[in-house]
Amino acid sequence: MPTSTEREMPLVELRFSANELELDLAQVFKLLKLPRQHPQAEEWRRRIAAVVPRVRERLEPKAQYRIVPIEARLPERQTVVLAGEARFTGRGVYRRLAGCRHAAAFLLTLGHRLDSSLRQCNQDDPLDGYLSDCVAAAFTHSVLRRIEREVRQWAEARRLQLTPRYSPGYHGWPLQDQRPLFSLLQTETMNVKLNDQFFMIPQKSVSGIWGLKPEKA
Amino acid sequence: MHKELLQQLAQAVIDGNKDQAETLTNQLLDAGLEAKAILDNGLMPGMDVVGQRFRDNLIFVPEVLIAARAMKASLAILEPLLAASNAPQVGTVVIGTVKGDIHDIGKNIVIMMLRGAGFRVVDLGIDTPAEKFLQAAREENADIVGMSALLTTTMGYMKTVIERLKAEGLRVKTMVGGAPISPAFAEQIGADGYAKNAAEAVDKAKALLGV
Repeated sequence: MPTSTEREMPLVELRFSANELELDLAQVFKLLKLPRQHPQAEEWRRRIAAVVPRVRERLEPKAQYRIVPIEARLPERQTVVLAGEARFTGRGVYRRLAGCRHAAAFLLTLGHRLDSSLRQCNQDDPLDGYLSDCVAAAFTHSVLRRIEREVRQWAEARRLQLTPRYSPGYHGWPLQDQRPLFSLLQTETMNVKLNDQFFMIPQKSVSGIWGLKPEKA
Repeated sequence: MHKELLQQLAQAVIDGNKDQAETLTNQLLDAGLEAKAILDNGLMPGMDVVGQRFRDNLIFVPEVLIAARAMKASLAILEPLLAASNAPQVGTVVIGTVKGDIHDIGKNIVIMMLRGAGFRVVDLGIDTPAEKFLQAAREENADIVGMSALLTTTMGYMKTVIERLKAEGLRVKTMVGGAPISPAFAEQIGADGYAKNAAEAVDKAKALLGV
């Protein structure tokens, strides 16, 4: 179990200006499911470039993360207890946090303004909507990279390494665990809410964890 | 002359040339061709090619959307005429993303492909409760109810809708699709059809109606 000096880290809030977020074009191609060697790749780059300013001007990116200790593992319930307050349950999350002393819980959002704009875009022109949606998704990855960089620095200073990122709703981690995940953060300052089915509103939001475990000798 | 223009219209759809599709549609109407004939012999053959290329992985989702945009431009001209003429349609599909799910890109692509294949499609949008599916199926005299879901947590609601449709005695076929859906799941919940992508959805919808 973590020592007292390693136990907690205060919640970290990250704010970005829309213009400082990088866009990884290769990632946009991947999200669009277009092969990078597509014969009209240049034409697609042009189309993507045309929607980027419209997406960027509606971005209100915010993120926060908190590194918390893993306090107990309850094998009979496939449950992991974090920071004395949150319980994650399920075979997937239990297995993925095996050997971890901490978990970094995070939440990011691109904001409400983008959501309504994407909805409108989809109505007006599905191609534009699809391109804009994939560009927005690529911006979430840009924010994710920033969070991951900070968490990795914290971890490496303590000779810990990050497990792959993992989110409720994926690979056997029930979406209901958005609730305990949100309880580790201060979601009201992010203006992100869960609906009855535990989906995040705004839609272009990402939540999840990295496990932090000792580096191999 | 009609034949040549219809071929050009099909090609305009395949190429995703929206302006050309609009121009050719107007030319064909001016030349005296019925809207239904333009749909059947110009737009639908074009979208058939697009669907086939998509199935064969020769083109990708964004390219299907470009073709669909051209088709939509032509359909916008034809639809009022089709409605006025009471021309028979392939069938009516009521479609929505199920309750709790707010993803709609896949569903929207399916809608465009179905329209391109001559179906009348009523889009119920996202987060659609069973009552709304039932009401629309009745009011629109639907042949097919289509449901979409993106996550494992929402796909179970498809079964609720199918059970409600059956309980209410609605004689309608049901189709399901979305990332987590499998043929086995579709069978398990009693859906009449499953499609893994938009092109397959058109084939499946036609097969269900025997057209």
